[in-house]
Amino acid sequence: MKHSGSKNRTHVKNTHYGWTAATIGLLLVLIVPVLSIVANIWNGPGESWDHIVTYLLPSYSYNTLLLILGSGIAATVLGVFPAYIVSTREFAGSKVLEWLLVLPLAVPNYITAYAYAGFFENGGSLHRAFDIYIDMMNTPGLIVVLATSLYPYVYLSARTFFSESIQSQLQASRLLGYNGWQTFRKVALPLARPAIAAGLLLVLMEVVSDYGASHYFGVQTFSTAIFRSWFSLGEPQTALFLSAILCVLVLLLIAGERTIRGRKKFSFRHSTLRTHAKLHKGWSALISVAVCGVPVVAGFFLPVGQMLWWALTHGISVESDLISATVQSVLIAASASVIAIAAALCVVFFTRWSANKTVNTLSKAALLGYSLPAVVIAVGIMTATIGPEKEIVLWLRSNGFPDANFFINNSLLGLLFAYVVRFLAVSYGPIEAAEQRQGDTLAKVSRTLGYANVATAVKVQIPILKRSALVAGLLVFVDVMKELPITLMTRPFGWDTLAVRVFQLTTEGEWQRAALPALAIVLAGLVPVVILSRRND
Amino acid sequence: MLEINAISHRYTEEPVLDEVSLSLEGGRIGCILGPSGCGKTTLLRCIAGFEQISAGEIRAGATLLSSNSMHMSAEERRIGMVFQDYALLPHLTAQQNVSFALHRQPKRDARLLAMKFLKLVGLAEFAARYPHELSGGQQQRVALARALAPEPRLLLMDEPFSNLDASLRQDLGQEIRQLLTQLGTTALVAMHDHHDAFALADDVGVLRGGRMLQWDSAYRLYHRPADRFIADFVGKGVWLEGRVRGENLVETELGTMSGRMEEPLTEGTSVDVLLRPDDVVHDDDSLMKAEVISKQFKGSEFLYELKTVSGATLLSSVPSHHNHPVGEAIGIRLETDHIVVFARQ
Repeated sequence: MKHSGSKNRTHVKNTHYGWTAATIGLLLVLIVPVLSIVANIWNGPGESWDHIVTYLLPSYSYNTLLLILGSGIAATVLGVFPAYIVSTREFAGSKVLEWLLVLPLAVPNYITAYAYAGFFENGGSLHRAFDIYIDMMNTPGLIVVLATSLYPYVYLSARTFFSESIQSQLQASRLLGYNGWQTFRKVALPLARPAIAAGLLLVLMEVVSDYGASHYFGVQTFSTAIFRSWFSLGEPQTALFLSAILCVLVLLLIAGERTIRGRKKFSFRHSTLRTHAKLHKGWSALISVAVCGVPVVAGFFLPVGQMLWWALTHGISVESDLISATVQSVLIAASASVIAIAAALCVVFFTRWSANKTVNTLSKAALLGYSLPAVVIAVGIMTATIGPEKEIVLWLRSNGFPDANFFINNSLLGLLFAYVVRFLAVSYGPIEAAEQRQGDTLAKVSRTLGYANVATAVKVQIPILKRSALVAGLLVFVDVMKELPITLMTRPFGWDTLAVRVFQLTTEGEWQRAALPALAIVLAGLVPVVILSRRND
Repeated sequence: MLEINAISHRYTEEPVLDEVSLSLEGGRIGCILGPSGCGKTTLLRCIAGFEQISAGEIRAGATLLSSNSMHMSAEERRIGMVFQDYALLPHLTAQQNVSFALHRQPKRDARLLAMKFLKLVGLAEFAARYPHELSGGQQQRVALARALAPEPRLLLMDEPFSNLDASLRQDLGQEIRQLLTQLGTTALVAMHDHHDAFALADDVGVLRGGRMLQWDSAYRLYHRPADRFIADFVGKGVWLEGRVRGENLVETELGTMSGRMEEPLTEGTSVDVLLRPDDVVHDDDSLMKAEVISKQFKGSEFLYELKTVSGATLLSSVPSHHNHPVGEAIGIRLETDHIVVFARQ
């Protein structure tokens, strides 16, 4: 995205301390989970730590690393080849496949996992139809599930790069006599390495963050271990220690991506003229369709088809708990969206008004939550708040409010807070980009007409940002609808979202009953996929 | 060498190229001139093999490259192209970029040949630099060397000067012309500026809305434009009302002009006459006077905008030591050897 607005932005010399303080205050709240982990780690681990280190840590590490390596490689293969093919070839169905390839993003990992189990496992659809079954509920099975549902991150990043950044390089290579495969190896792949790494980083952060699919397949990872230490062992400090290790792992992944990107800093002119030369037919078209079709089928049509089958054979009966789960999902997701938009607007404008370069750099810390594994955020927020909150509640109870109860932990407030920390980056992205595009000319005009900062924002800037803010809100809404681990850990008792219902039903083996709520989540998940693909057109 | 025969191309219903024809002899430099969006780039891409044509034929010598039923793929055509954004490979040095084009040669030969071509474009000492360490003009030359190295049967260049500043354009235009002539390369260049085109090309065509309005030598295009759009597009001038008064004679308010006319028109026909700034000569002794309305200093000359007694507006380019203030009436004389006239509708 081009940030033309930033060029003619004037940098006001004098710092506005009020806004600087407000920005920093807001940032501190948003990085509470990280601060809390760093602060509490000095209190030492819980009782079971030694046992965990000796007996369990090796297998957590081994499984997590295996998942990173396996799903990383598989997602790259599944993403890069189709991206290259749809960017450089035309064949029957190429246009449709180009956007179908993004669809698996609409299916959360834990839903793909359970649909796969229902399809491939003993007693599943495959077994009943052809009398064969494949044992899926193990690490290799989990790798397949994660790769097929997450490869679109690599695909999107690589496709944008192939079709928008290096079209003319690819065409120059063809003119110089290289065929498609040679061009892929000699030009496309070496140049696309940073773009692929960027997509891969998103995949791996999701892999590290996954709780639902790993738990369902019984694969012990850091995320499942953190969850277990908190709930089953009741040892917050142990959960905290494991979280810290996981944070270091994420940092290493980010550092890895930076080194790959940093060494090759190429800038490309935008060139989108594609070739419309040859409609591939016969074998060559068939191979293209196969390479692009396999990920779509594996990541979308197979799981969704399986769930549709269950929903239809089970008979579509809407149970009352499903209605309440839907209502609760929508309510909490809508509230989280509104807060996330407001928070993003505050970060963007406070930073601008403080007119301080350091603050500007620091403001990116607000996005930290998106790279932290979900369970780590939950653990961080709970450990940070539970101590002070207990004091307050006890004080209230002894001072005339005997019914006073916890208002952050195990309450909607805590849940919303966790969502906002996790998904602020999702709302911040579109809003910040739109603000950059807007530039500051209008704001300047408004200032000369006598409006102050806030009035200018409310009357001029935010109305112009409205569309981007709505898109941002919608993206957060859907992410919250799909969210599982944070919801499981911090929700108030009895507050079941659709995602939680699906998780409960599947762990109880109620595959057919879980199909309908799962499909509802997938349907909601399709909304941003459609929006994003429209934006690309 | 290059024969394009009534080709059409369409993305949707609206044709981007509509029965375009041109022919370019071996060793000559052709130029497609036209406003942006006229189809220049698409025409080049059809020749390169990136687009399929829906009618007509493209031939290189005896080889059929494209027809509505046949399409030779881009990598088989042996056509070189310099892209508007140069399309250099950022992970390769200048020399490696050129060697990249020579993959059918043994490695050692490729390296030597690459050096030879870098030397030809004057970049031998920059061989080890990466594209981002080169200036725009230097990147352009590397792209040229890369396109020329495999000795293509035809070289295409898309807006070669669009990313360069004016002073660089002229020198580079001259250099490219020399180089192509020296190598005997046939080239077709897409451009939007007639100055650049006339400096570089032997043959020039004007494309508008996907139609080739005229394909001719540069000289003829300027002096015998086929229609008013071309006349206006390839240079400055004003139109004056007139009446044909016999063979090669046109009467205007500024007197009777004589000069060769492309098509004989019957005596008495009402016409518009094109007067280029160089057709109107400043002459202090002339009895015909015109008032200076505005002037542009162009270094070696002034471009005067003049108003005649009868109210007609003229443009005149005058050597710059004739500096007259706005408002002064100066003597002028018409000096025409070709007369460009179009019958008035």
